Amino acid sequence: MRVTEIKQIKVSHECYDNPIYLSWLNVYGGREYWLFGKVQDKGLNTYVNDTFEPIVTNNTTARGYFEESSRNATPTITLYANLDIEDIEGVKTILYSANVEMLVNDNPITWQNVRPQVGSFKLYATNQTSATMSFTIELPKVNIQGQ
Amino acid sequence: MISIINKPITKITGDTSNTSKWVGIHQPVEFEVKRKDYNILSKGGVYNQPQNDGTTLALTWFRVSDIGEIKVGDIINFLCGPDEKKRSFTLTVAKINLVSTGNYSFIFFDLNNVIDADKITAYKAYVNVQRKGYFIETFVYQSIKNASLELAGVVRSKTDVWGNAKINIQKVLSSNITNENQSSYLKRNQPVYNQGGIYNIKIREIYDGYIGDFTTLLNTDNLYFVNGSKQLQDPNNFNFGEFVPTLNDSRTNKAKFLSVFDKPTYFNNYPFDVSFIYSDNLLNKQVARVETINGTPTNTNLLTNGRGFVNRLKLAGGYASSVKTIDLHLDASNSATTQNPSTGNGTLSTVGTVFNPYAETIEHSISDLNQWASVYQPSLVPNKYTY
Repeated sequence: MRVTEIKQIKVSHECYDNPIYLSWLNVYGGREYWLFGKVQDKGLNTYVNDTFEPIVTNNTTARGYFEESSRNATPTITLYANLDIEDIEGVKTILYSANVEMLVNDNPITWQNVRPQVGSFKLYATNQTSATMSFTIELPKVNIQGQ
Repeated sequence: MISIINKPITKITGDTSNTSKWVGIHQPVEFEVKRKDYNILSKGGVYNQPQNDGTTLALTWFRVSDIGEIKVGDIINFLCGPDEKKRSFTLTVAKINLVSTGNYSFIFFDLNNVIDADKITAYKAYVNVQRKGYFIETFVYQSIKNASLELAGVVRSKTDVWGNAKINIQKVLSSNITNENQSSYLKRNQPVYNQGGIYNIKIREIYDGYIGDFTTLLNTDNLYFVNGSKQLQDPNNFNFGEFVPTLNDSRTNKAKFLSVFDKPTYFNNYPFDVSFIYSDNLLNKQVARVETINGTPTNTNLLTNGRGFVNRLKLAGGYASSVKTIDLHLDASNSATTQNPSTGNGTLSTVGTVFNPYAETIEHSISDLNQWASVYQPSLVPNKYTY
């Protein structure tokens, strides 16, 4: 007796350059996967947490006024994918997932938390059959020495 | 005495013979509890109690099942009536008669004609004593890290004048559950405890100077949660009924997999699975994964130790490049499984003990995965970020 729906699974045999494989928790508590490939944009977001100005007691030896308590650096990757509309409907759920992970090692299988940046996204026009989807994920921040 | 009168169990739309005990833990998970200290069995006549000043006071007496902790002078809420004719009176216990035989007692009240007394029996009247600091304590048990139930939290609730309380344990259930990916991708189907599992509650009443006994925690009362949310105007409300497989051939809307994709994509050689509810409705039945490729089905029996949890279902993998799609579903035979369901169903013989899963049946080892990776693809993952 069949006890579930019949779910058609598409099999992709494509070999991608620059593969980025993401897994995320959907709102129904299931786990989803998607492989992004071909090309991504690598970026870096930095900002200064706080600055202070040291008191100069000797002009001869002082080296400057730039002093920071710490700096924050977050690597980013912007992903692109040309997808069928039905796949966009699935992949878009990554943008509001409670947990997104990127595969960083396949032996043993290891995941790293990443975070899609928030914002307003245009997904596709209703008369399109496929569209390019793009969003940016933030990787864990760089640990930097601070004051 | 307190009892649970309503649990978060609902009928499944499209399935006339089964219920779903699976709820999301990010929306209300509500139990209804009723407190009835003493049921009124029947109303008696009038008893004229002599007073110190020589006069008499007319008391009405009632037969109750058990006198318990009630004392002369206690103030009680006398409650009766169906919903549309509810009546509540505050009365003082004037006299108690204990009857040693027959398991009942009498309590006496000065009614002063406030009750439509003849209808009391028909209205299923009951008495709740006004207790100082009365509350109901709910212990919530949940499978958190593994299949065994552990104490997840405690909820305290006051009852209203009718002795009713609504106990929402959603915060307790959700606060213990994390979101990260916990699968090892080694087994054909594997329970993932932070995606869904078992919970149960036991309750007791507490008031000034008294701590009641807990209700019994029974495996047969186990309920189930999913780390998920339902959307507005869902016909099943907060319940995950449409995702719960049931043994009903005539069910019109078969249970869905926990996937938002219309057609999920399996990227060859990458860790992949489809999440599903390995429901309590399939206990004792052998469930099989059926992969149909070009019209040819392949049945593979599932491991039973994930029953009662949200599971991840792997595909067989290693498909020829001519295979473009696979039709996946679960099938349950009508015959009982040969695998022992009493230890493999994810429920526990005793709460708090860790149950022994079956020896792991490994479908693909990590070295297999790695081997495929090295044969078919240069790398499955991006280069490490250089800091």
